[in-house]
Amino acid sequence: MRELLTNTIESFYLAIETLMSNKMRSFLTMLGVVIGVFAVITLVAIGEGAKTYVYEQISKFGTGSRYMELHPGKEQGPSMMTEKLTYRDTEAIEKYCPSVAAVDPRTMGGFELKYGKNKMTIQFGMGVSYRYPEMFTHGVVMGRFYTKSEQDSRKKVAVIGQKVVEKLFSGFNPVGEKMKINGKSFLVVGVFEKKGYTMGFDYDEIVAIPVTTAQKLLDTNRIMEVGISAKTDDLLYRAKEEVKQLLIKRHKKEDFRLDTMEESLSMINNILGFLTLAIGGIASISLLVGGIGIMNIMLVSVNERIREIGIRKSVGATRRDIFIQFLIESVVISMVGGTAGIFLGVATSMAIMKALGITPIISLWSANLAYFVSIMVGIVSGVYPATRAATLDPVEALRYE
Amino acid sequence: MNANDLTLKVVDLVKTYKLGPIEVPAVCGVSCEVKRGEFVAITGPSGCGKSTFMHLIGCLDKPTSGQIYLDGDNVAGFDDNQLAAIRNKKIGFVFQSFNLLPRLNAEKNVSLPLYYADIRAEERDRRAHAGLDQVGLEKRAHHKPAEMSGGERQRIAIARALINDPAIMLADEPTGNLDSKTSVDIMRIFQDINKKGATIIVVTHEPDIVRYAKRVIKLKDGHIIGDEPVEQVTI
Repeated sequence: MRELLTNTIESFYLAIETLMSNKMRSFLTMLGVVIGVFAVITLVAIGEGAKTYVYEQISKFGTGSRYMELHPGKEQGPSMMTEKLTYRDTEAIEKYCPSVAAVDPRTMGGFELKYGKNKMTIQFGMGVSYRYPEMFTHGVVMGRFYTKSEQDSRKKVAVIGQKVVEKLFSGFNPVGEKMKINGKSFLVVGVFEKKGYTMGFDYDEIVAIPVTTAQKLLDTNRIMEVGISAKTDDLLYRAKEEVKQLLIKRHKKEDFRLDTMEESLSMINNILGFLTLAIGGIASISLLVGGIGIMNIMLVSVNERIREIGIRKSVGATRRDIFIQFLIESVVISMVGGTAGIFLGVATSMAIMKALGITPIISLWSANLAYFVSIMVGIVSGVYPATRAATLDPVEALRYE
Repeated sequence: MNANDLTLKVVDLVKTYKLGPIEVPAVCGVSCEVKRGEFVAITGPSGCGKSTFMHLIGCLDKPTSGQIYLDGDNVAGFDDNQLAAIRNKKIGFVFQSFNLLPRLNAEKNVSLPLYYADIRAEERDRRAHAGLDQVGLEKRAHHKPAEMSGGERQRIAIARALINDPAIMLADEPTGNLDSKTSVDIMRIFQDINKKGATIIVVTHEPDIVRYAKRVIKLKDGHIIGDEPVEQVTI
């Protein structure tokens, strides 16, 4: 009986020796697999990193799992502008939906700020309700936020972010100062705490005024977005249904969209997951090319070693022995290439994510998959050359010059 | 005569090659017997079929028809795997162009048949050293073929052929690539191992080489045209 294990280990040594005898060629052949595995690992890691990043960003936003957002229009896109939500709608929601805890109607527009000689443009000036600080977990460090009565009476009051304080008020305490927004005089009542960027929006460059005041200032009766939080996490879907029924009754049609945070998260998750898969798939093409490279070189190698095959056969090598010898060579190429690719890929993705400030996550599955695939690539690309070698006629092979 | 004394018995051996539609006969009904311990030279002009004949009895090729009894087994009907096993255990080849593996050192070349016989590495090395000792090359164990002279390479090949203690040693023009002095050295080694009991068949077209054997079989156009004892030259 064959001592299968010892034999296999020896075959590996033999393959490594053979490959070492032609280092440059072996290296170049491996390079295809190295690049393929490297690309798969890096791109998948970046995809996964982006997913985590977006996830983290969204979780920072709003009141978490009992939060939802109401937008005009059934779909995202132009209908957001043609369909309407009004302030009265939001008052009705607060009044008639028992599972709803808070409603934060918002509208947005460009603000031209002026204080003395200092000027500043805010692209997305916010008209938000007095609920904003709790909904966005964005508190006030100096002064106060405006009140419900100030909102109801459309007072010209504003709460500003720290970057606005720096740029417009040169850093001194602006609470109690008057500034101009689009030519109208506003009293600064508070300054927000630092929050930084979320989803590309700089929360420290924010100017918030009561939503009612904003509608008047921007000369619109639209509400662009409504933040709604349910009384508890469990009541979220009931609250969603109540809001939906109420608005259908008021509008006579479903011309709005309600997204819970959970749904947005799972949607974004799906999109990013698909993107990760797609770029992973594209990267695997390079792995395929690497495999073709191995097959090509193995065929050349078989042709160069016809004499060797003849000699081995003349001293008793069976077809199987020759087949295994060449197959193992091919697998060793792809395995070594795959290992190098994994290390290179992991190192690169770590570096990239560190540079981007994302928590580095290397998914085990992509490394495992890449390794498995690279071994499979070795087997698949080795079978044909190895079969060619194994079926050579010993007499012909020995005669070959 | 006791059948056990017969190492090789060939009956009506035929080998025909097909070159497209044309059939080219190479060996046409050869019958002969070789006893244990014989030293036979097979000779004839080129194209006489002596190489084909050697490939057939060496189990490298399959006959078109006829029987080949090697140590009592009819190998004519064996499949590829069985033939590989016979080559491994019962045949030792020595070729004109040495046919050593250039990347392996002398020791590994000598022990190559043992690798395919699934013998453990330590045992292989031990036997390879003994084999190299037999041909006087123990000190060259770790040299590669490229670092050795033609005569040394052929001695390595002889050690390899002997390592499995084969029933028959087949040498195809073993001195064809060597100068005359080295040729004599190599033939002396063949005579030595023959004296120790090995059965040897040498295929050659050189009359000088035939003289070292004990018997000569002459082939022409695929037929035996002579089979006679030789006045052996001892060195």
